[in-house]
Amino acid sequence: MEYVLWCLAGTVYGIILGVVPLAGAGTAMLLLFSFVGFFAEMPYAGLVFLISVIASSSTADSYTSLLTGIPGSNTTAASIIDGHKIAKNGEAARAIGIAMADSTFNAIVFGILAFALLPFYAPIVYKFGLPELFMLMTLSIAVVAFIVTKNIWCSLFAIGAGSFLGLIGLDPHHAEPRFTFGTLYLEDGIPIMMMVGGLFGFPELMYGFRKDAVRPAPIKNYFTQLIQGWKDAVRLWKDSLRGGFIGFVAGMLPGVGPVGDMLAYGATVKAHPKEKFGVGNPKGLAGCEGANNAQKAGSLIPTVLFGIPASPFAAIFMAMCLGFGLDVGTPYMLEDKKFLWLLGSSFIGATIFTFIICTFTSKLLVKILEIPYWLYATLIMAIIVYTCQTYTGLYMDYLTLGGCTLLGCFCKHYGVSRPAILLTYIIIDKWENLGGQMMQVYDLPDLATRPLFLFLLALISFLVYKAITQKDRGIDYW
Amino acid sequence: MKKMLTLVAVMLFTATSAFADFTIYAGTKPGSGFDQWMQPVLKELRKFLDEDITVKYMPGARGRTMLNKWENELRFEDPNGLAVSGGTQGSNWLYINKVEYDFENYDAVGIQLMDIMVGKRKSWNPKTDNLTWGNESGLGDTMGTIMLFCGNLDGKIESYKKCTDERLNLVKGMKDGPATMAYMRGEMDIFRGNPTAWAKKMSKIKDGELWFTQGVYDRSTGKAGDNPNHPGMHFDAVFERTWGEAPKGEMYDAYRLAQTFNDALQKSIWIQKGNPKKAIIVDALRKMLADPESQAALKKVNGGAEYDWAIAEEGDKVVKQIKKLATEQALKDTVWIIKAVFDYDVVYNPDRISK
Repeated sequence: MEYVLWCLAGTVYGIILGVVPLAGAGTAMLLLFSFVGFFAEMPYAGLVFLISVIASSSTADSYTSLLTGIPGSNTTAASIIDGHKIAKNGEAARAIGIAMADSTFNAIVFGILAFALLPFYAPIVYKFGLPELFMLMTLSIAVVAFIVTKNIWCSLFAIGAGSFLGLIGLDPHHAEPRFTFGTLYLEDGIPIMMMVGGLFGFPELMYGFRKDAVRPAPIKNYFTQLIQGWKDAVRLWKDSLRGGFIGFVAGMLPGVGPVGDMLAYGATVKAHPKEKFGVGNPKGLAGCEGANNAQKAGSLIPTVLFGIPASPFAAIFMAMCLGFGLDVGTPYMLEDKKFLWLLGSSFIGATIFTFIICTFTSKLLVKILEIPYWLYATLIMAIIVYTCQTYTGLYMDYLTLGGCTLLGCFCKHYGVSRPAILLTYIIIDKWENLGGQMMQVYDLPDLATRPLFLFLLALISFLVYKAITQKDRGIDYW
Repeated sequence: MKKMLTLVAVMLFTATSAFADFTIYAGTKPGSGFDQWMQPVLKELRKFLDEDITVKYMPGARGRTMLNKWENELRFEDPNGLAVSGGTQGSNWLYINKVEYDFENYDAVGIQLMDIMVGKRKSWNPKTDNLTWGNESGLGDTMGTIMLFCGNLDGKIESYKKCTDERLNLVKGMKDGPATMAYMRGEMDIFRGNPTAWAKKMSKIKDGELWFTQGVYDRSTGKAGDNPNHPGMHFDAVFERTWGEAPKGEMYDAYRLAQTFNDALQKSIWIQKGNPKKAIIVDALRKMLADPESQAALKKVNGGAEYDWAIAEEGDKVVKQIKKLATEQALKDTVWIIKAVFDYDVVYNPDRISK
């Protein structure tokens, strides 16, 4: 019962933060960073709360995209293209109905697929020795570099910046300070909360100030239109499932998850070549809306199995779980039945709670969108600053957050992939470490006898070859 | 429900320590190994205090950020302040740069005298087999490991360099968790753990056995003695069983210096000298340790093992006692072997030599 209450609390909090324009799951969790210590005594309650925030905010962020045309989070931009048109055509509740049904359906299907199979992955994880883990990290960096953005120079800049920031701290091989500029503060590296707050939180919120005030599209004949939307979603289940599948797979690939909805939208358009999109086509909304939810479930798989967060929100999730004392990313957790059960059940439970709550409170939730933007944006910024300064309380907290914010604004302005920077920052020191350790423990002839290592090596080689020779490299996301 | 309401209250009041009666400064992140020991201890301690204790995490530079700030500012500015420190901060005092703190400048509230256990694969023979191993958290126990598989040699520290060059593959940059994982995958020959982690590790590891314990600091002798939780597995006893003689020589003194500063100060709580609130917190600690329910809870934290506490003046004596181990030769040898074998950035600081 206690966990049900935590799930409900996380759902309500996630819905509210989800509706706030440009916030989303990442910001919602970032604001909770200063309360990590609170959950140290009850880590499983913390886990349930976090997962509920992720699940519910991923559905609730659709309100903003559909009704105002401003993304509720950076993973729901595709919903605007047709969804906002439907709302502007006087069928706001219908758009909400399609989005809610689509999100709930995909969250449940891909949530079950992701979490029910996790215990069976444990024996596979033990097959990943130092060489395989090193190649997995290399694959992650290759994916980040070559898939996420069309402009390879922007990708390389992102990789360079992420690498530099990730390598700040003590050199693990000699315990010597590296890029710390003589400060003790930086010997533990740049805290992840500064990176997320500076790279994503502040730039997104500041970007919102530049947007004109938008009144949400009015909701009329709520229940009639809502049920019509549900019926649409059932009718368009193939588009919905395709979108969910694309989001799910994209979610598992580092750096690709945040663009899962755009990929799903593109696939929907291709699947219906004779139809017109961008004019309020329900298929356009059904084809991409659930990708966001499935992406969340997919991103948690590499996070839980290997400690490789595939998306920014997963990076925060992992950092917070470690703060609760849950060693996410180690096989220990895969043997922890309680952990696995709560992970899956709270994701599904929060999705169902969200569906029920949103069905009956949509009109109330939309009121949040009528609050002046500057009011909640300022409040959220203040909480981010507060959260970051709880790290040590030293002036370096502010300086580091300021530096990360400058970098975030620069990247947003010039189209440099911020997820690529964040993911490289997280991965690079593990990659460096594993590379050195692999060379210390294994000789080249040993490596040549490891099939999984060779398979990953071939996959990376293929990816790099395709990236160099293929003109249409991917899609932009920054 | 009650906990949830508490969270809301905490959020409303922005969780600042200004409302707390005691603030405990921890140079670690929430959820760290140290935190997994500290949280249950504080939970029990609160039962015997009329005031609350709030934790202020201040991670950075392996605890130096917080302890340096404690040394220079916090202990003077915060009349309700306590500090906690772990083994890394204890041994860092000996040989790491930019350490401004000194435990003798504060009063001990309590020091739990702990141990480190080292395990090995059952089939691995320390006398004949080579060793692949790495753990950046365990400089002290790695020194013990080196001694136990090299033997006394000629008693000179330089001889251990030759032995490790020939037989030890020291894998760099291994943290505790990944090192244990590497052991479980068959990539390492040994593993280690502090009392909080040991039982948990042993429950997961199928092919492994306790090799030796470093020993628990014995206040009567001023040396690491047998661990009552693992009788007969003390380093010295295992060494004698392996090599037919007692451990001795420069390497042994260097090992004991690094190991004792790590283990004896592995879990410590401090307060500023002369702080009038010392009596309150010490009294609560004594009551907690006398209470059977709390004892059971604390035993659970250490995987069912019991470890003694040196409280207040007893803790101050421990600090004074262990500093005597820092002779000029032992300190020089410790720094030399860490540089030569581990290739770590450590410094010889003559100020650390016992006066």
